[in-house]
Amino acid sequence: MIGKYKIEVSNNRVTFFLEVKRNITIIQGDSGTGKTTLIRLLSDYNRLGQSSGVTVKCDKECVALIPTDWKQYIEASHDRIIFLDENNSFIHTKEFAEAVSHSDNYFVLIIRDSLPQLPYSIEEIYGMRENRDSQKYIKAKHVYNEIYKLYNIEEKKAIAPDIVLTEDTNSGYECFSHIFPDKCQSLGGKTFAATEIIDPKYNEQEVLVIVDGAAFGSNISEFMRSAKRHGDRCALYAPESFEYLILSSGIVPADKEVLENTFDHADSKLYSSWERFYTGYLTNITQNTPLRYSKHKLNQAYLSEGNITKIKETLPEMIKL
Amino acid sequence: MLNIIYGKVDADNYIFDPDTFFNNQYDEDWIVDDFSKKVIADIDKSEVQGPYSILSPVLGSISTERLSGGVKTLILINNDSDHIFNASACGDNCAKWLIDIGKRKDITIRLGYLMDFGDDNFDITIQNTGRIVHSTNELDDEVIGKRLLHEAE
Repeated sequence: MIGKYKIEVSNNRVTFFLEVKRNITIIQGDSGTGKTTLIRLLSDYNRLGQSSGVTVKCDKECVALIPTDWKQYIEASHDRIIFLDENNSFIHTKEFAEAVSHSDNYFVLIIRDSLPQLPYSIEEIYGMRENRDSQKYIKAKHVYNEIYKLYNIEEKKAIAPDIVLTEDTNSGYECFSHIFPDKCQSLGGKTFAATEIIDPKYNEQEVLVIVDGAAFGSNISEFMRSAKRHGDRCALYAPESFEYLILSSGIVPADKEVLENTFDHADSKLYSSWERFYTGYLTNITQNTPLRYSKHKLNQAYLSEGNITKIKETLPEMIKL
Repeated sequence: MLNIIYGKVDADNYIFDPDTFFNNQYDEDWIVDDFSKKVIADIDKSEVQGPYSILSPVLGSISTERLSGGVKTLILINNDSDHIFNASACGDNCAKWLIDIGKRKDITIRLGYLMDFGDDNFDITIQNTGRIVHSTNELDDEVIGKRLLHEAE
């Protein structure tokens, strides 16, 4: 499934608005903000249609009623937006993650627990907010606000990192080691980001952590709690992925439309996350060229002075090199 | 004392879905006591009219079964000491109420996320390690530092 969809669910007392554009959207937040009511309204509509008195406006079918044989149901579903809340214990299982990973459906998961088995984006984590003028209108709004994909840092505040931590030792690490010589270290996996920076050894340093935002959703809440104690001295730079950074830098002839409207190209059936999509797209367009891309070992052509300059220019201005 | 098990719970008396459990097990006296009235007013911005009726500013008069999952879980934790409830059904706005119950009695809950207990000091036992923590930083050192939410990975 591809595309971006507006969803409006209402009865005569309350109206919910949200927009989905990736295979996984997470809704969390305070109790009493209407999340359960949203599921209940959709369930009523699924059971009784128009007779429920609930109105659902969306270009795709929205479903909240899932039978016990959820696995078969998901496999047999196409082009649906499936809403599930935390009362469905199977959401935590690897079987569910497998069913989602190449599903031809989008999923809206209402849950506070992180789901490390699912590669969801920081950008697709929402909380329900009442309209300032009326409690009757409830809109899903981003939980993590960012400035040019830079988190835990205020606008106009710069960070001059003493240390740069990357997710792993793949191509991104090789590139950032070149940009930040003698400062770059690998975390050995994105799940270690929060654990690492909580260490008091970083108390006196400016730390920049670089991760793939498109798949860091399950780690962001712990990370932000760890980062908070360092204040502005610790920032998270979370572009969609390292491949997205290269594609946006102008080094390779990427189609601007693909980067701006990725939701129209990253088919959920083929790509479990946009990070995978960008890797596939970059690998594809550089095949049989001097810039042939490999995720595990960076082609040295990307480290030429001209190309490194282009990557540096793509980084947010607040990161001082 | 508030006791928290982070991550996975293997216990016969663990209730994964407090919302459904509440609908089938709540006692009418629970709804009209002072604690429940305060919690329902604070979290759901609603008023208790009777054991089976709640007045919501958005939804109008609703049945008790339509309270939020967070409120139902708090009421269960306050009244049923025989079970360990999954407090991931509670948002951050429930944290002060969990602390409040923990000051009056020994309770054990499960959390699968880093609830924000605020900047004031508190007493919480992290059951996974046995450590008693008194601030958010101490709690984070234990939960994040020891990767208690990643044990199953």
